[in-house]
Amino acid sequence: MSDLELEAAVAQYRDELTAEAELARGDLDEIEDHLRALIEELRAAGRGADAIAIARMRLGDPRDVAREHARVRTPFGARPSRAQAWSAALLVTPLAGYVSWLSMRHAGAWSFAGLELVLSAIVIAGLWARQAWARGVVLGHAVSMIVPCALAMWLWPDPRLAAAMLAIYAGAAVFLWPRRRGELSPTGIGLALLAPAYNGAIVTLAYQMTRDDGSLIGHPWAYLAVGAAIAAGAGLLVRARWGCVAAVVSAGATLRSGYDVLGLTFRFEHPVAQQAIVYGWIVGGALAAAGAALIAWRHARPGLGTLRDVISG
Amino acid sequence: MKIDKDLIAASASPLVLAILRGGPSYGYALIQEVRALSGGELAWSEGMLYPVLHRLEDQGLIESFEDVGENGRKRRYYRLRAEGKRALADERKQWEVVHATLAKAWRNA
Repeated sequence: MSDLELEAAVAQYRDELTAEAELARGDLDEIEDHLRALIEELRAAGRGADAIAIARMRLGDPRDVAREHARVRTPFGARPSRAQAWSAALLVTPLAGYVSWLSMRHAGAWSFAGLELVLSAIVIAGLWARQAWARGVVLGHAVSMIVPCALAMWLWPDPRLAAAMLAIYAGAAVFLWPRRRGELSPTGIGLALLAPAYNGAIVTLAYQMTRDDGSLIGHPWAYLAVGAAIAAGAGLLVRARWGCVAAVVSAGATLRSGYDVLGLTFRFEHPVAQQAIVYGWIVGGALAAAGAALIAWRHARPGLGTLRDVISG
Repeated sequence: MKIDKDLIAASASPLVLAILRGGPSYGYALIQEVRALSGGELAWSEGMLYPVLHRLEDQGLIESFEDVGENGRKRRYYRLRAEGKRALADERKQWEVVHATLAKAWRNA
């Protein structure tokens, strides 16, 4: 058996595993390592052409192995431990409640504030239930908020709220950060990317609400960007191709409405820094959406998607 | 002798925990150890070991870490945690009760 045949056999086993269920790279590497060790053992024992077939038989049908795997690991990665999930949830739940209360008092329940309350309630409930997808979303959000919160400490007249938010997001990010390779699957990373994508879209919406002349304008691009980001999240959750389309639309619409924000004059104490944050948010959000689209495309399953994978454990 | 699938499944986690009690190990080596201990009688479908390992890790009984193996490639190793030691002691008591009961029943049979 040549090395070429060996590599082909290993690649084929990997492909058969991933065709049945999405396995994290670290988990795939682990099984591959085992297959290689088995083949080496058989070769050393004098087996030639049939070494691969015997090794496959001993390792087991890849479909069975992948299916058994999927019962433990979710398509979004490993479930966070109770300590990880609940520590992070304890941190972000009061903040989400407070922010929702603030924005709903300002805009009313029948607004994006109400929608955000519902979305964040779903994600936080998922985190309390130690769902791997909720871990991805909260981790993405927390990481993307660290730099803006740190800058806000300097920009806001009263830095205390910004400091508290920074502590909460940094803490949540530490708790939810993957401890080892492959703990978040590609789809889990896609969901994590959609959090900043959503934030970028929301920023363009927020800044277009108040134009220079004080008029309130809800630009259709911004609404499209936010709606598409939410749709992309749903698409990634059910692992369908249309999630990719939604993420591309969100990236494009965020950039398009971000372009309008360019024309705004900032009346803050530190207009340059404020502008940098806003543009960073918008461009970063669009890039994140594009990344999520790529992942959604590569890891989607055929069909319109299924909710089967969403509730794990 | 072909050992029943359910019996293999039930004995998998105490076996893994017991072997890891002796020090960190990785999937392939664990399988070798099981085969040696059972004199080749316990033949696992080897790929099925990994879901068992990951479930034990999810339960907090063992933990994984990466190290470079003797082949020079990165490899995922597992070691027992304190909770795993407690679980192993508990499982051991249960298996001993089952074993002792069966032994007595067979003596009378």
